[in-house]
Amino acid sequence: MIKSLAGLTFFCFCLLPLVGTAALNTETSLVEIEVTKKVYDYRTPWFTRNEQIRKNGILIGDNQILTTADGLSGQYLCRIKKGGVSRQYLAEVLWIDYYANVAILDVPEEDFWEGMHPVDLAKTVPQSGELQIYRWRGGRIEERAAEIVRLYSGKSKSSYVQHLVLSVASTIQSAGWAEVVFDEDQLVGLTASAGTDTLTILPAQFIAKVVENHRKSEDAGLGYFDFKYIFGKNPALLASKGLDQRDVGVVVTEVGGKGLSKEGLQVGDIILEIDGFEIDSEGKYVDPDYGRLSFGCLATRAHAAGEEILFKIWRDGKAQQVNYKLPGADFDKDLIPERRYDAPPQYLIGGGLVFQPLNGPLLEALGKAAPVLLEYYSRQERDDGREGLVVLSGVLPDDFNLGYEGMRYLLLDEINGRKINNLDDVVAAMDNPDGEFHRIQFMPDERVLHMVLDAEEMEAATTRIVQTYRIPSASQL
Amino acid sequence: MNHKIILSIILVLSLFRVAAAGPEQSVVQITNYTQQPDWVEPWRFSPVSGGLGSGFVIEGQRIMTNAHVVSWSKQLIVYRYQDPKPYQATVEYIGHDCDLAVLKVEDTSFFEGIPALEIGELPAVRSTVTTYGYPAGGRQISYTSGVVSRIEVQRYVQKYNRSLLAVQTDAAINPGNSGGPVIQDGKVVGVSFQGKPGLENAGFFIPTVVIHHFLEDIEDKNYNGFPDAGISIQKLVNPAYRKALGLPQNSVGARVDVILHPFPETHKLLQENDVLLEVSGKEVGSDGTVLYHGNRVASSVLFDEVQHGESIMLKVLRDGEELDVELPVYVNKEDRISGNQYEPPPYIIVGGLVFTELSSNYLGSLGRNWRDKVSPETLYELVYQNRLDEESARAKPVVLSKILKHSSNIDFAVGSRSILSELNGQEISSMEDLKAALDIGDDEFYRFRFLSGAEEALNQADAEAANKQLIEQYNIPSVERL
Repeated sequence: MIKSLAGLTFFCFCLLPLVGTAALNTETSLVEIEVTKKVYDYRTPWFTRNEQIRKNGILIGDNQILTTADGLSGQYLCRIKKGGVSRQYLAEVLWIDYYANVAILDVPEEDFWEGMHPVDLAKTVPQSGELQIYRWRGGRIEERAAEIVRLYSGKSKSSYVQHLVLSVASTIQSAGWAEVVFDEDQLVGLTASAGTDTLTILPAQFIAKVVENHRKSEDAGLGYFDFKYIFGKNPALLASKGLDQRDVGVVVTEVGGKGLSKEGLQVGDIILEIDGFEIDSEGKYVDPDYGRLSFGCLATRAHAAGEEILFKIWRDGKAQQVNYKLPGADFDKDLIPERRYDAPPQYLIGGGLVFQPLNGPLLEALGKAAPVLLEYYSRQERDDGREGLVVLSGVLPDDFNLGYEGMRYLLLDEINGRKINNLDDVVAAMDNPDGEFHRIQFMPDERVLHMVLDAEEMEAATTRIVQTYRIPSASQL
Repeated sequence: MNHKIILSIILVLSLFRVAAAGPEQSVVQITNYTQQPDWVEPWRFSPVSGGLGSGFVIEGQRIMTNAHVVSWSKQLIVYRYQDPKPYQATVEYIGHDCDLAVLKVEDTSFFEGIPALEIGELPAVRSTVTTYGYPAGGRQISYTSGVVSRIEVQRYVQKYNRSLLAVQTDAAINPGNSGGPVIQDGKVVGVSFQGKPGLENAGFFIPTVVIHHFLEDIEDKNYNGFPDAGISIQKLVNPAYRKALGLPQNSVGARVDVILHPFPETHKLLQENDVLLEVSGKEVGSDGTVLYHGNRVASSVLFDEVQHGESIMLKVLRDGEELDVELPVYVNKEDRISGNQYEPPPYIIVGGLVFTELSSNYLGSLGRNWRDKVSPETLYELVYQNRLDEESARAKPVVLSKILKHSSNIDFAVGSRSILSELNGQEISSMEDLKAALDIGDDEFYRFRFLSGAEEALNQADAEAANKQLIEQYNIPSVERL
């Protein structure tokens, strides 16, 4: 395969030397990345494990190695192999964008770049035909064919951001780790995930935009339509709102669920057009380049966060134009952040009580054992000024906390009269005990409401408990 | 020789007499032919199936058995001991909360020659008891003996959201034993009723204190059930908490953590963080238990001795002062939806949209993976909403259980298992609310709003036409049952 590829390369050079387009030679652009990283178990947040993964990267410019952000969280040592030889070069992560699932690495050592050639990113996404997938395996390039299944507007692997996603069918095994996908000599994208016989590809067209934005001095980031909707297919629904048309628009059911923006739209609005594109009753628009797509990807396809997008909506029995200021994706604005990258889990141990902020990774760690109430709150919007929730995730038994041993996964409302949004609030509240005591109050719908602890003895108890249970630190804020 | 013959005849006769006077004479076999409703399509009922259980004759020509033996009954047949003649019986009173029922038999000849069994007291732990019943469907009575292993408050699975006193024994209690008497010294000391998965050689029977409560309750020809004080009691062992409440560091007193809804009387008389020192004159331990006939059991057992509308005497400590509180207790009829139901669910069909009451039975009918099929919001409505306030506690959420597809609703964008929150601007928190909102009908449309925030609509005239067509098409007896 390598031989024939080399042959093909030579042949292409012979034929087209004057055009100046370097034919594809993956050996001089494709690299293997070894990522050594810290991983955390949110159920024992004070312990850190070590893990190593291998993925792929490709040169897209001087000192720019492109890969997906997936799997890089917690990394502290990235090494890169080129040309299939065993030499590992130390790499530096220039930036990681978890919203986009794109990362750029550099190898500071000059030798690395010798004989290496960047590839071109395809400007458009192919919609049919065959593609080639490449990766390093055992010091040789593995090439696999992939057949395009379809192009759609989908969710990023590492965030809720919507963008174009290409789905392909291939027999390649254990893929989804940024294997590079080419259409002839153009990089079409990187694999983002793998199912049985199918792969999703993060298109180069989207990657190019993300890379370009990062070059700007002020990157506005990726936008996200922070609202939910249902299809406007039922004629009675449109008619009940006085809209005498069929199969147009979607009806907004929730605005600002991710805490990004409540501006512009209202529940009950029928969205008829976005950015001049008609929205059909299944939430699709006709993209000038790619045909019918769900409108979710419009947020990233032609706009950046902060830009105003013109919406034509049906509200109060008439068509209206509203400017929707596209909010930027931001996990931290959610009441319960869905994802958390490159940061150890936060916790605070006070008198054996383990407090943790409620977030996506914690819920994921609990899996099916997650109490219904935690799941319920994780889906609620921010209201009554609360910016986050803290959970008493468990108790490390000790004389100090006698009687509370069985308490776990209880959501905090107040400590010593102070509303609890985050661990800093817990610290501040504990600094102001109610006389001799700490009075903890859980959410009104919890199975237990009240708890009292000795404020004076707490510090000594914490020290003792942390030693007994061999926990390196009483807090990680 | 003659002597020997006479002696053996006497022996045989005496044996026969002893046997004839035994409790088995009073133990009956029950066959129950049942039909259960479908919780998603509530007009449908399951195919008829038969179940077997046991029962025993008590005072007043009645048969006592378990509620679960006679639930969902369409036809109830009872058999006397060693008598093949079937007698038809009917349920006179049924208490799903305590899993007890009494039956009557129209043909009173059934009771001829059958002595009523006397109901005794709570047996002592380690004493021997004998169960009588018809396990595994046999026609011959079966006896098993064992000791009373322990006496504790246990969850009664018939309703599932109730816990009452139960006695554990190592006498084998198997399906079919249910409803049979547990005998000690010739008296009934319990009614066999349930096992526990994962617990070997352990069966449970309903103790006489629960039986007496049930029988006393029905004396006025109406079954109310076991009242509830509406308080959640937490143990009070943490030294700091005891100090904060002005209590000595001993093992007396448990804490009222929260007062539930809807218990307005309790809200008037008790407060959060009241310390429960005594219930019915018995000292409450710091773990919330009382010494009850030599057993340490949850203090709720004393609340379960009181009848609906009666009061219980409590001694509480509030702000360092001891208070005597006479707390009236009532049956909480509002917690029905969170426990198993034994009435066919109400439903209303609107343009092919089937609305019914959210219940644990409804969720249970969604199959093994029901947790994956319903949103946490829906579960919250069922289980947690009642913690917030009285109004929420009285709510009976309405769920869209099914859409019978019709050209007028085929594109209805909200799927089944969604909770309805509004119809034409009227808030919906019960089937009655839905009925009332539908009856207003001064709009061209039915405008639905669901808990998720989604709105949908049906044209009223189209919906009515669809209903007519659909009930005919699917042989639905009526568009509603409330």
